[in-house]
Amino acid sequence: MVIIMKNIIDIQNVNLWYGDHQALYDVSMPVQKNKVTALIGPSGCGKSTLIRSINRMNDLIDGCRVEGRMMFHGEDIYGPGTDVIKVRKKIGMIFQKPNPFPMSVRDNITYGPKIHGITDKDELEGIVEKSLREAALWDEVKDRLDKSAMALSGGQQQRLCIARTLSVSPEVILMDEPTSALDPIATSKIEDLITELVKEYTVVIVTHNMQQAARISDYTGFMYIGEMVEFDKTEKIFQSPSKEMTDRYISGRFG
Amino acid sequence: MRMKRFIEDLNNLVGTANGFGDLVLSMAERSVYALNNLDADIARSVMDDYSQVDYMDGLIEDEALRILMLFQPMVSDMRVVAVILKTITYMERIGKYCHNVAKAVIYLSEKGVRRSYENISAMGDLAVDMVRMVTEAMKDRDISRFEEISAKDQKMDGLRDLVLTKAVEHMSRDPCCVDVCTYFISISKFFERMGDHACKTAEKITYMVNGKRVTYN
Repeated sequence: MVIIMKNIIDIQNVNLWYGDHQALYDVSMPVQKNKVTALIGPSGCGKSTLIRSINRMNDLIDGCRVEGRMMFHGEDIYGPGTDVIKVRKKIGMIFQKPNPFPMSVRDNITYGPKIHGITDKDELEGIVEKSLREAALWDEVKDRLDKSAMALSGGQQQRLCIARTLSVSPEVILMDEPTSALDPIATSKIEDLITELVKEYTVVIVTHNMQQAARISDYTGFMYIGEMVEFDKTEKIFQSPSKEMTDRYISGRFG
Repeated sequence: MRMKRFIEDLNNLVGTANGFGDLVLSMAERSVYALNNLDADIARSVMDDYSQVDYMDGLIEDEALRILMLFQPMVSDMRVVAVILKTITYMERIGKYCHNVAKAVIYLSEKGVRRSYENISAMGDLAVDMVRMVTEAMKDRDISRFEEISAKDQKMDGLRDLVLTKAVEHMSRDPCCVDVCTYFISISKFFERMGDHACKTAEKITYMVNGKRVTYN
């Protein structure tokens, strides 16, 4: 398969080990700018490992070793001169369980920009509003910016986490099962939000919900036991995939 | 458990759709037999069966929609359900044309017509062949037999033109036979439409089997 496109991230022949255990085998995958790329596959197939390796979250795990190339704007994320903090600023991450900081809504948003050296109060206020608006949360929280973020509903907390990620002007947002802890209404709000976000950002999402991947993504990769079995346009993967294994997994016959 | 139920329901749906195909094929065969022998009794049996076609069309549609609602099938399973939803419409139309042929046969036999025309009978045989192709392919998923379906459809169109030319000649020579000729023209039209619908059904079955879009007519 040949897909000609503008790749913001290009994963090339990546192998990854946790100690002696190899978790990724020769994985290659392009991530196109301003598109949603979904990763699907049974538990333990390596999709979370892959998405976490894109912004070097796996560095925090002892004994984790990566080989191959992970290019971001043509530069290797694992290159010797790479500034990891900068990588994580440009490539943000959203997790399965909403994890707001135990502080006010406003402070959750300003935390990142302050760390990156922004101190001007007006500028920070501007970032708070812009980020919350982009995360479709502004109207719901604008009157309680000083209240604790922990008092928000699960769906609101997840959108707050997205706003927090947006506050440091990332280019790519990685989402690791962002809706699996949410109810259907909160889930559809996040899905709508993702569809909006790709106008400005690039999204990579891991999901166990096949319909969700089919609904919101442009490209889908199916992984199994650490390998990228098939990567193609989402429409093709969900209508007529090339590999029988993909068909069997998506139709629920294994995994 | 959910998967087991889904596979059972899907297999039942496919089974019912195949039964529907068999019913329509049998109507096509009997309508051609009725025409060749101007047999009004057989023609009546075809007309009677149309109510069953109408009933099964609705039944299968309801069942397919229920499966979509409960299980949201994907990939090849999704193609099976979607293609059944499409093809039952084509098959229902074929059943309706069989009904129309039968109705015309009854009229012609009442008018004292004792034989059909060779070219129209040949069109009937082609229509039956094409309907048989799709009902068999629906069962065994062997789409290699569709290689011939376009050629059969072209032959059908050629015969229809021939029937029309001959019928116009007849009618201009002998205005008394205008009503009978009009009925024969209609019958040839019904067979030609049956062939078209069989081609469309074959296209959908091909998509069901390999996910590829093809055109047969």
